[in-house]
Amino acid sequence: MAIRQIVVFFLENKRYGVEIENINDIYEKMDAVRVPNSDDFIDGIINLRGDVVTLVNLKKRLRIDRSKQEENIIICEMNKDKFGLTVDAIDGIIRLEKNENETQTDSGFIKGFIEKNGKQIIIIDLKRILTKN
Amino acid sequence: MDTSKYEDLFISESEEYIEQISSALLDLEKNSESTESVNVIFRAMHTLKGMAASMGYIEISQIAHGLEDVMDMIRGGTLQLSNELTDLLLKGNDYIDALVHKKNIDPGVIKSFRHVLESIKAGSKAFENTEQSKTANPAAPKIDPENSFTIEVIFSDDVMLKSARAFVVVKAAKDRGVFAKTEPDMDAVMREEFDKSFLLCLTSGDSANSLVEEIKKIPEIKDAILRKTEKKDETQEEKSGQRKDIKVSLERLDNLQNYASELVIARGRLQQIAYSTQNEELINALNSTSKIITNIQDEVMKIRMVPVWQIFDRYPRYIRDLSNKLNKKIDFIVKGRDIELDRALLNALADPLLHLLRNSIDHGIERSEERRAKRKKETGTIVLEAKRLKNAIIIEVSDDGKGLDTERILKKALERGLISEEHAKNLTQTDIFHFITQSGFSTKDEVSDVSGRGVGVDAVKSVLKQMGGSFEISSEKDRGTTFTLKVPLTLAIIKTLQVNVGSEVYIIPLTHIIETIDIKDEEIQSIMGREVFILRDQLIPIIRVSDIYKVKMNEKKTDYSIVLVEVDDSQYGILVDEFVEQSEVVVKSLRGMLSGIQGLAGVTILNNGMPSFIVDVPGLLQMAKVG
Amino acid sequence: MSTRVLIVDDAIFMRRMIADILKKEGFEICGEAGTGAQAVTMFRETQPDLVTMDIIMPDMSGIDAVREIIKEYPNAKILMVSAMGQQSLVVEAIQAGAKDFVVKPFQPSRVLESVGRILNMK
Repeated sequence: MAIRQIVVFFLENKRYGVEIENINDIYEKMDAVRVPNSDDFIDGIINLRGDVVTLVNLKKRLRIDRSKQEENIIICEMNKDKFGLTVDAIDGIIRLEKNENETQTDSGFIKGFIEKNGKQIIIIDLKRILTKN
Repeated sequence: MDTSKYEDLFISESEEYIEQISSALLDLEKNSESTESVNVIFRAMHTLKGMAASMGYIEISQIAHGLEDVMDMIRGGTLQLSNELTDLLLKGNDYIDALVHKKNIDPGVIKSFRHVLESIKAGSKAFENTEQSKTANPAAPKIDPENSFTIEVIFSDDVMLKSARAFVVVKAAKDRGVFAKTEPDMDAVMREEFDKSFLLCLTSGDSANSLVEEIKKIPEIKDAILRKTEKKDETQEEKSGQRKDIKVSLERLDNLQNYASELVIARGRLQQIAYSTQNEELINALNSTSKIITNIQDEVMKIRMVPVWQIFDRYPRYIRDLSNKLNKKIDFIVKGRDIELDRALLNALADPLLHLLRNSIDHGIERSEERRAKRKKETGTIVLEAKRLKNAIIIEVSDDGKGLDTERILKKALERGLISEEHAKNLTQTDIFHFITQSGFSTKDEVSDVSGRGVGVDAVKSVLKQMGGSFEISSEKDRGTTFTLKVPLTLAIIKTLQVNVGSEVYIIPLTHIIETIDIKDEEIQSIMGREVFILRDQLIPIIRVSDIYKVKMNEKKTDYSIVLVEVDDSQYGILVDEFVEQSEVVVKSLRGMLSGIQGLAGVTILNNGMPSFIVDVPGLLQMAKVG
Repeated sequence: MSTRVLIVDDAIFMRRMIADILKKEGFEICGEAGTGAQAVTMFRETQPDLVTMDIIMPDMSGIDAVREIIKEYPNAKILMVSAMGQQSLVVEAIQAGAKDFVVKPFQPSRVLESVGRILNMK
């Protein structure tokens, strides 16, 4: 029970992670339909086997300067709604003991930091990310 | 059947009947008591109806049918002949004359004429129903429970005059002396209160097999299946009545509907593939599958339909209590309570309607003293009415109270910074009424415990927007206020027009569309900084979807298409690049981060698998005005 | 010998249509009548194997004509030809002794099906 799994991905060469419980699937980038007059971090909507999924550009949401193209979509579910996080690339999944090496913070969209095998991973707060301002 | 060779005969003989009718009508004008004239017209209309139907002239047949029914009512004494009625009959005869001679008549004219006939019929139907309920149930025949047989009689899909057909079947059993009863009972069968089959119960099984064979030979009978009646607990049967209903949870119904909707989408995709590959075999197979899917969809929709009285009937008591509490005298009138609506839609409307009614009682209707001072009837009236249109249901809440206070609303809007002083001068009444549909807008200075809290008018509007409907307000000082809710017939699937704007595709619900027009760039004029075009001597404001939705437009075009819509009694031209097609789409609501985006009513998935947004027409117009 | 049919309808147009359908299948049209009273008279004269009978006609209705004919000839084979919306009249006609009915506008095959069935009745 004490095991946590984190999906790790890249945003502009930095590693970020999100807990696997909320993740449904991972896809290659695909064409999306633009949402008129929406927030700037919404990349559009896609059809995923009959479900309409809203794409949230994580770099735009976290206000990170963009130089690289997003290549992957992480599909997650929040309150029965599906979202897709567009990220640069997937690094992998790491397993860790509960609260192992985690520094808790409470600053905006960041939940905390994890050190694993010498790599630093920024854990994001999915709930906040996916809640309208 | 090739009917062309009968054409000349049809015309010449129709002319004779039309002539007979007009001379009989002239006689009637002189002598309104002449039953012979009435009979002549009735018969002639009847004959024309049959002739026209045989030629495939549906319009003529329908008009003649309507007029025949009216004449039948006059014959039967349920309808009194009047000058207006004679005029109507003459007019109908003229229409038939014109149609027989292939003259073009505006279909709208014919339609409204038929509506008039329908309403005449409906008006006197009320008697008949009460008459009918008086007929006593004949004593049930005795069936030997140990030794009885039942035949399930199944009609073919194209059966005509179902009740008469059923009677032919029953007579076959009667002639053999084995008829016991039918299920549903004979009265219900004759009223056609069954779907595709009914049960024929026999007093004995003696000649049951040969009877089954005989029934199978009767035209329009698909099958007859013999079975021994199951022994049933008689009392149980009495209790449960004769209708075979079962209870189904709403969740299951919703699931079923979702699957049916998915099926519709999947069909669209398949059709696209079939047509693009020109695979005839596949197209044929799909066409028959398609019919089945449509049937399933219709049935599922029907299962979900419930009469509005299920909600409407809750209100009278509430209104009485509230009006007593507020010391106001109110007559509450409910109309159209039998009109049916999708259950989910109706449930979603329950609170909004309650809010609007509260609003009318609290803010609309004045106290008796005030009404007397205004020389109005002391008792106020609130009408809740449901009406059916072709693609939508209208629900109206109207009162004869003091009307909305435009000055006060405007003052509030200025206070809240919703508009500038300068802008305020150009607002129309409708614009001003729109403010109260914005969230958090309440004009009552202090929030009353009656209607200030809970769902507001803004919530009513957003519920309707989600449904793909609309919400309109009209009001006149001291005359009253009417809230009009336009609701699609069913929740999940709506009829729409698909349009292209730049490289994007949008979906416009037909509920708002009046017509579509092609337009050239040079026909677009600019008046006081607003784009307009002229349609039948009227200036119609143009709204460019590309502006409002900020669509990237690559090149300047010379040809555009206009979707003419009507909202709040005004017409607007929504400018798009081109029309793609009309289609039925499954509406998905905007949730999560997409909820509350202005100008969008929902989203759907197109046949090519791409999602596309459904335009919130009233919202779009609102954005155009503000922007 | 071919089957002899009496066609009763107040509209010549409808009589022509029915006659064409039946003639094509080898039936012999032994007479046409435009009113109920004419139908009864012509039945006595021609003694047809089959009658197609309109319901609403001047002079005497099709139903009354059926009653008259059945009274004298209980085995007469009568097919009612009715327009839509006359359920109760059709039922009345069947009660009076008509064997079957077809509804206008009809498919030729539908008429022939009913005719065939009636002629096979005892």
